Amino acid sequence: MKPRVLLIEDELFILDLYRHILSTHDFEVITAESGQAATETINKNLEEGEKINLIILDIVLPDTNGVDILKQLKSNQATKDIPVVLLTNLRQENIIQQSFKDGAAGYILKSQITPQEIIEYIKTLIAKEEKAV
Amino acid sequence: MPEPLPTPKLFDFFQKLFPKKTTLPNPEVEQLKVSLAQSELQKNQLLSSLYNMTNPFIVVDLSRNVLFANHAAEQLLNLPLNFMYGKPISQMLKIYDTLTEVTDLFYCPINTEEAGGKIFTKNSLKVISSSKKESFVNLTSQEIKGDPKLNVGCVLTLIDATRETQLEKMKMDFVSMAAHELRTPLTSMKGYVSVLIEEGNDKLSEDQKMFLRRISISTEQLLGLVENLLNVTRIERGTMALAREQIDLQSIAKQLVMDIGARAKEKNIKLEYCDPTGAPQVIPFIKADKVKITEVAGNLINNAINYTPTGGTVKVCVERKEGDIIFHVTDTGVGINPDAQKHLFTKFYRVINKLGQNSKGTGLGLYISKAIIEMHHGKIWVESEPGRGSTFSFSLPVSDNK
Repeated sequence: MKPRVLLIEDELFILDLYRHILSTHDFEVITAESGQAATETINKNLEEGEKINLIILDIVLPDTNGVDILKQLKSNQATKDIPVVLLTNLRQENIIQQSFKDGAAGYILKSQITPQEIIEYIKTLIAKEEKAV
Repeated sequence: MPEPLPTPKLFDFFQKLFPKKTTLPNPEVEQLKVSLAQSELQKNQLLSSLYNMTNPFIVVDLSRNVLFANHAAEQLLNLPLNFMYGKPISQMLKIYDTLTEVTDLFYCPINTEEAGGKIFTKNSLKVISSSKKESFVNLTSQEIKGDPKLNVGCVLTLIDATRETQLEKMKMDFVSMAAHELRTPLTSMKGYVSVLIEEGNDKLSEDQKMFLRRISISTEQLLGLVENLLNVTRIERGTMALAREQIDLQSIAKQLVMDIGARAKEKNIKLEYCDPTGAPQVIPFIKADKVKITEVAGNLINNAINYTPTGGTVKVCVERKEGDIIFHVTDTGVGINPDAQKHLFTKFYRVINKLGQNSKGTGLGLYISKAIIEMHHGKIWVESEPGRGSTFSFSLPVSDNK
């Protein structure tokens, strides 16, 4: 079965780009463009018993920020084991360090990474997660 | 802080400080009275001139207590002279350089080793008055070396720079905002171009592939520029943070030599790592920001390649010298004349080289490098002779584990 990735990103061009890269590499992609939409999507998937293998989360969102969503996900029993990768343009060490403390599995600097690297990075994280389970 | 007292009339105050002598009983008394009146007049003329000078002016004695402050200084600090008189300067004048407090040991040099007296000068320092009002000043302090009986330690002259500082801040805010806004579309361009290059491999002609690579390179250059502008705003606002970890500068240098090797080869330049003493040295780990130090080292190597003609050599060395780890890049390039060397590390400065070409880049790389190295309590410098090449070096203290 294809691994399912939830992509939370409000910039349409970036959202489409990542959706394209992931789906051409055999991932099933679901998307949300705001914090509110992300929460609804996650709840719906949980209710329907659909597994989410990984979440890619943008830090700057219109209604909230990725750091707060990360904290919520990690404090919820049902979602705390889903690996979360932060997608950011902010090269701010303190935010990055703090999000690792808050349980992020990794982060992607949008402007510094190629599509191939993204895929490899995500595959490694999912493989690590499956090993742990 | 107690309520400031109302300012008394200036001369009343000085009369208390320097009370009049009683009349002498001998016959020369009239002559002495005249001299005394004259010197009194001269003293008051001087004090009145200083007191009414437009720029804030403070005199500190050898025990770091306030001896004199003029009206402009009283207004700046919102404290009258008779309150400040005899009190420690450290309690009267609070100065900040961006976010860190500058202590009076720095801004008020007294009893230093320097023969002619030390001078401290710094621009855009923040001063907070007793009523919590913030102003920005350019400060020049001159240590006074003279007869200790005079008891004058240091003279501080301040120039109000609040407006300039505000304008500079607005400029930085604008650059920062513009750079952030540019980064989003550039990131998306870079991403889509990479997808096209990857997926178009067997569908596109060689020319088309080359065009895509050129779009990609140009996008990278723009992103690099935007990143540099953001770094400048972070440096100027004092918001650049370091993520320190144990790093091995020697492996970083060797890795960079490998990574940049291909570019050097394209230009037919020999890029190599060398041990400066001939024999490999054990270089201890130091606590530093790996990403930023790698950027600085990479920037110096790339510059060396840019300014070295085809067929030249660029050598990279790391050595330990006393308490420092030193990184050097030596090239056989065009060299830099002594006049230009002075300005190399300032913002937006670019050398026009002998080959008649305008140099590449924005003139921000060395400025950012200097700021990063100084944040690590290190030093960065250049030694160069026109026509013979240059050596750029930076040192990082081994013991700096702060």
